[in-house]
Amino acid sequence: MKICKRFSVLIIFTFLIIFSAACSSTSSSQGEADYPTKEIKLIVHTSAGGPTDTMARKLAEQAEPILGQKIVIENKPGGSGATQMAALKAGDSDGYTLATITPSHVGGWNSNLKGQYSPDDFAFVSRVQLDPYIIAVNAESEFETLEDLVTYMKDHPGELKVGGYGSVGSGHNIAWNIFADAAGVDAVWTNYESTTDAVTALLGNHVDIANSNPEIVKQYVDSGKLRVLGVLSDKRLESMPDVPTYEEGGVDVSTKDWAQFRGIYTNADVPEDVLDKLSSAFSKAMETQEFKQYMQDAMMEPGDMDHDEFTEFINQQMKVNDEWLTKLGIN
Amino acid sequence: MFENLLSGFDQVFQIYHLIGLLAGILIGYFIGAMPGLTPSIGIALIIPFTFTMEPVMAMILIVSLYMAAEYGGGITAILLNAPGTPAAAATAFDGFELTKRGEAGKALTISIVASAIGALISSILLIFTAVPMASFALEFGPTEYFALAIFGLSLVSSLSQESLLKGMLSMLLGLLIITIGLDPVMGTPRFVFSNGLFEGVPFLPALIGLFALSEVFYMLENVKEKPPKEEKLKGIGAPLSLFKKMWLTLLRAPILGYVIGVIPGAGTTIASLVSYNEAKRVSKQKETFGKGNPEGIAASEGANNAAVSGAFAPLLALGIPGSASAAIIIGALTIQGVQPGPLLFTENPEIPYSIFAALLVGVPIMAIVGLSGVRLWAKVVLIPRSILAVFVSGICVLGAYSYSNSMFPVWVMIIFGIFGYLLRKTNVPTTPMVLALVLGAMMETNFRRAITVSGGDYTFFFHRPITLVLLILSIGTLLLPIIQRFRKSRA
Repeated sequence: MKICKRFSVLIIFTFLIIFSAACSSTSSSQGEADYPTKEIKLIVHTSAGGPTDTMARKLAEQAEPILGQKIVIENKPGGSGATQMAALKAGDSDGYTLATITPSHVGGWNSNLKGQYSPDDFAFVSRVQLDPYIIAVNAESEFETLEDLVTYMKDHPGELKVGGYGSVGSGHNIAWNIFADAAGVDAVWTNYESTTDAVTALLGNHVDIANSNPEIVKQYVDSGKLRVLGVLSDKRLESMPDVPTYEEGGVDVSTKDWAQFRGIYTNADVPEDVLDKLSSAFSKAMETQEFKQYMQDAMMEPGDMDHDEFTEFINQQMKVNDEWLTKLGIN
Repeated sequence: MFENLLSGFDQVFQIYHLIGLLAGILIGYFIGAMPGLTPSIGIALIIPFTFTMEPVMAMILIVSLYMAAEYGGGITAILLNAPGTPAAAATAFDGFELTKRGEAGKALTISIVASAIGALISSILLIFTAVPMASFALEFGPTEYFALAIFGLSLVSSLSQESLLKGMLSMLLGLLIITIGLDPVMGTPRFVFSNGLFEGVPFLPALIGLFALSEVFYMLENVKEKPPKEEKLKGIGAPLSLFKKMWLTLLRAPILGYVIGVIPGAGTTIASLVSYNEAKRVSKQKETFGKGNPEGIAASEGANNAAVSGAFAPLLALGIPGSASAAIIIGALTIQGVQPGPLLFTENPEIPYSIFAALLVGVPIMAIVGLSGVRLWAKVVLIPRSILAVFVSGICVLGAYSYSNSMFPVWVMIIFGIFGYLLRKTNVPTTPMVLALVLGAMMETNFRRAITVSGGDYTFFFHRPITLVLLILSIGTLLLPIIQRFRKSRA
């Protein structure tokens, strides 16, 4: 019987935990002059543990003391971000409901979510980081430099296979196409469910090239299994000082054209001064030692932009994305 | 290596690490038992708590949770026909039949013993073969994955109990459901009439509906039916001679489970189904499978726990996730500042070796927790049906909701519950549909990927040895039961 009792306590306890996780508090609107006066919710569109989730948690951790309020992370994965957008829209417009944004959102507004959501429904608080796109090959391959690769592809159009995250029109796919377009080459895009899957395929020689990000290939580069030929960045990465940028490798592409960014956005009618407050708080959070350390460990590039710059950036990315979706025959 | 392993044990036996191990096992046990809460959701839920821990502690907690959750999934599969995890679906085939006969305690004991043996054997395999097995995982390209999916689907002919036609129908319906969602190559929506369907029909809520909610409807039909007599349990709950009789299954399931677990993306569900099928194929009493044969439970549970260790091989040796749960564990390690990859064994040897030690030390603890729970859990079947039905539908809703913290999966679960009830009423087996839901996307994506890579050459599949072997195995698996059935009907 004793065991019985202990078990029932445990069962009840487990239930309580699950219930408290499932029931999230709803917030009511309050004055904006002394914002923030209560806890802020930050909705992440991926599951816990991914790079976007990590960014959100690290940023929240550093921004809490600056804002003087708790920032609660809520994961709403699914629907390529649509589940999160619906949750954000259902929230308030006074700056207590925030969410994470990546190029998936831009892609969605231009294609599958067209007519349901558009950038006009939202306000863009801060751009936080850039996760540079890189081009990697297997260390056994004959390509030592970006020039080697470009030359080979020019002589053998449509022969090499590029593995990368997402279908035609995804952030990685557009990044590859912008590169291929500028270099004047042609290769076969092979889509994978994640960048990790694409890198795994490259390790097993199932594709010739992987369009990836630095953090995911770092270990394989250090252990001599993979080689990085170029990075889509305005300057060389601290973590990979020997890897040239696309521009240095002779391919004229910059992060102004396309970049994998991560940032924070919220609902459209959030008052301007609340946006400014948030934007400057996040900017300060990004300057803390702990956040900089995280950025370095995760091999991310600083990408701080305030509310106005970020809004302009999103509009420009919307245009680039739309052009490419048309070119690729998606729209 | 042994030196490292000893220091791994040294780590695990530190008192706060032991507490972490026990906590992980208990939490995992309940998360697994809760339909809708998969091991991967459990790990995702616990990760925020590990942020402030040191890496070894975080890993011990997560690994023990993962292993226990994979076992816990079998509990509700046996008691309520509601698999707590997708991998426990095969446990329900025979487990729930035993429960209906009033032998729930026996079924539960078999499942924990098989789980423990599976976890133990596979952990030992992992320690010695992690590195070579990881390079085997790299051999799997698009054609191999496609062939693996076909092999999985070919199990349909032995998993449809009475009518092969109805089994095929169920599988094809499942494949139709898989076409919902974004096209994997072009990204254009297919049959997407709601935003929640962009990534396809959420699998887990569908599974809860098909198995658990449809069972609730059955319970409601027979509310008046008296619960079975209380079962008298002796010793650990099942006679030792029973385990002796099925030693071969107890040994084969972990090895099969481990090898399948190593292949990234194949996972525990395929492992348990293949192992179940294999036990049935070699058995002299094939017809008793699905009607309460203890070996069915042992085959399924032994394999799905072994697949957990299997998934760790590519993760530890190469930093490649073998399952959704393993992918989340990589995330957790990254947050800790540890990058899993080929350098893990040299740069952070304490991580893999404390994982090995945690697996080995965790097994007996898991077995004790599991065995002491048998008598309590076996009482669940004594609860009057009217109350049980309310309780189970409650867990169904909760489980579906927690899938993405929103109502959409709950609706999916309810629709599939009604659908599952109709299927079962018409004697259409639901398992082939589950098979299709698990493997359909893998089959389609990899087929199209293979065609892209080969430049449209369909003979590409026959040039690769692993692919060819798997395809031949599939044909055999598909046809063998049909031939046997045909012979029987002529004899």
